[in-house]
Amino acid sequence: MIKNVTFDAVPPQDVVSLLKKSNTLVVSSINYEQRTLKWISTLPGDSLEAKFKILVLRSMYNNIGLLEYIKNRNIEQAKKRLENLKVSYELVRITYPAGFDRDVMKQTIRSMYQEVGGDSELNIILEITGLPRAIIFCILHAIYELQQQRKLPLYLYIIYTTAQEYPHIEYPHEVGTLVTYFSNKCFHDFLRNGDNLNLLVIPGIYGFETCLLIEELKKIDLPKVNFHFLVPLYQHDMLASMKVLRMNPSVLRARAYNAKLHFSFSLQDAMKMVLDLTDWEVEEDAKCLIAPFNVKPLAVSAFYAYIRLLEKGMRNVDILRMSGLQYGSLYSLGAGEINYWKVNINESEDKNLSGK
Amino acid sequence: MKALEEIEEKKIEEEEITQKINAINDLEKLDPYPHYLARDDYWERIERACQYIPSDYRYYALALFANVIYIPSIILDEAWRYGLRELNRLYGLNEENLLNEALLLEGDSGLIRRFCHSNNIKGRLDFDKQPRSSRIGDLAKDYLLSRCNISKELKDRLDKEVSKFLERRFWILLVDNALSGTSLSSELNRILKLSEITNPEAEIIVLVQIMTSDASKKVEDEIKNKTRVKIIRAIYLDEKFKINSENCQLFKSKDTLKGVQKLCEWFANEILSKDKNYDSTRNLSGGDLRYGFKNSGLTLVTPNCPSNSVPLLWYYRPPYYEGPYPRVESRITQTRSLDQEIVDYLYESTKRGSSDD
Repeated sequence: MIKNVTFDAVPPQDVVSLLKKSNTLVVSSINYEQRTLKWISTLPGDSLEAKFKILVLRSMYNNIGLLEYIKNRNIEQAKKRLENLKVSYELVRITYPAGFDRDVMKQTIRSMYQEVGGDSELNIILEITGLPRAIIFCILHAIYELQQQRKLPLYLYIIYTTAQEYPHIEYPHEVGTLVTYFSNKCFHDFLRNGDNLNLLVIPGIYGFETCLLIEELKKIDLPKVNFHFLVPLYQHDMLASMKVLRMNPSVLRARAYNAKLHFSFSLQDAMKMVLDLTDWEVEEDAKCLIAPFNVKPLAVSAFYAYIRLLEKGMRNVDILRMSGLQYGSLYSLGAGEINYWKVNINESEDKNLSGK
Repeated sequence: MKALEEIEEKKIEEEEITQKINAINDLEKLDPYPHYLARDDYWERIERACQYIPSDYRYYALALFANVIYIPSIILDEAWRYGLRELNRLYGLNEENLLNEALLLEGDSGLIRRFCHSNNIKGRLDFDKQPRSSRIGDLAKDYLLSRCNISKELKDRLDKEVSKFLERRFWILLVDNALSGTSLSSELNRILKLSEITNPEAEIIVLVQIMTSDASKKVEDEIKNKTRVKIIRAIYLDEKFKINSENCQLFKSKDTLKGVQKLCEWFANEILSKDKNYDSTRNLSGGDLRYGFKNSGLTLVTPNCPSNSVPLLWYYRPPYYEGPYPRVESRITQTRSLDQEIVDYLYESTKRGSSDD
């Protein structure tokens, strides 16, 4: 039962020390974004005993040749690096987005877990930079289920490399509809006239998902809506943060939708606020939706918010995402800083004024 | 929009001018710039400012106004809440125990009040929780007085009253803007000296709402490797936000940046230089103020536009110019307080005393 979740920033050397242990599983993915290579490129040359599983995503159709070429080139670089470090690694092919099967994905994670040592204390390092949100949710769900079954501890670490900049695009690079991740429903099937709704939206940099959500909301008669916007203003990229405000005019017109507007000031702060703002005490029939359209660490936070609500007994909780049809952009340029967090579940928050 | 009619559509698109100005306009509607300083809609204020600017420069003025970083109270209040969230995460301080466990100091009056209100912290005026004055200079004066030749009873009472606050483990300085870093580094210098002679173990935490990379460098020089000083900043503006930096990224095109810099030069020469009221500020800042106080080069606008932002934004003197974000000057004469001398005296005399021992 999840009562309390925190994401504690940890120094890189803590993660490196875990990589020296054979009971550590690393799950990462390399795509065409330069930043997906950065963490592997910066691994130290110490004897690393951890098992690396590199997910290689390929769609059943509509793969774009140029992007596939860049991705393959990056994967080759990663392989070379891991081989030089004499690291035990495996490339794991996943069909995504077209043809993605979440049960297969979860089974893949369970097999990796068994292989690394399901009978002992285990560390899982999830490098989310190159993982699509749908896969992040799927992996986290598989890990959560394992944590529930295990008697021995399973520690989860998250790694994320920020982008240096986001390309300017004139139109949405994804064309799709809003769907709920876990119940896999269209927005209008999940939410109906007469429902009471709790909603947290974290707008993305291009704004089109939030814009679509607002338009869809207008069409539904909702008697009671508890609506929050969380706008992350990141210190590491204030220009991109300002762009989020510009690209999401609906956020700036929050009052028109009776929404409450909140701001956060770092990735870690935003992750905490997702949990704080979704600590809803509601009647079990109310619908609860979390829409983490912003950067991927917030999807991690949204996942734990979802689980916590579910465990509270709320039946209609879900995470909203955009079902993209195909890739059309590099998504990000360059590689910024690498962030490391330990996911602490049910650990006491009491610091007893001892500092850290 | 007569003043803006001659600007080419292509240029407007290139710098995403309409989109950017609309966003600022929307943000102003959500949380307006103080109405006693600016009443009209942002577009109207821009139009008015542009009437004073020669047509060759108007496009650059528009590009500058489109790149204003508007940080209204709604964000600043959240920045104080972020400060408390960080204090809680790092030190276990929260709205319940903060006033009893930490000594709150403020760089400018009113900050503690706003911090407490934003965080729903009750009891900030209780004399058993916080000192009657939250300025480091006043605390130093009280401390000095308790060491003077006054009646024993008064001396004991004063000593007890001042010491109970100075002995606290956490000294927290609240700062709204650290833009050039001059005020903050002086304040930190005083705090470090007073702490060294009264409570060398105190952990000094600075909560800053908005900090620039210039200020960060200056403060780092001041605190050097002092590990007991921790800076927690909410909003950080680096070189990308400085229009007088070659790393400025506010504009898409380098030509636009150059044009904006030329406009600032024109403004300083043709408008601002004629205003003698700014002579002392110019002397203190150095240069002609074309990029604002201490050459900060910012386009930042808070509820009272800082002087570190370029004067094209805040200078307001009809019939010569009407900037879109008029400001109320906090300092006119630029005279200095005695705070530094008092702290230096205390520091030197205590050090001398201990070496005599």
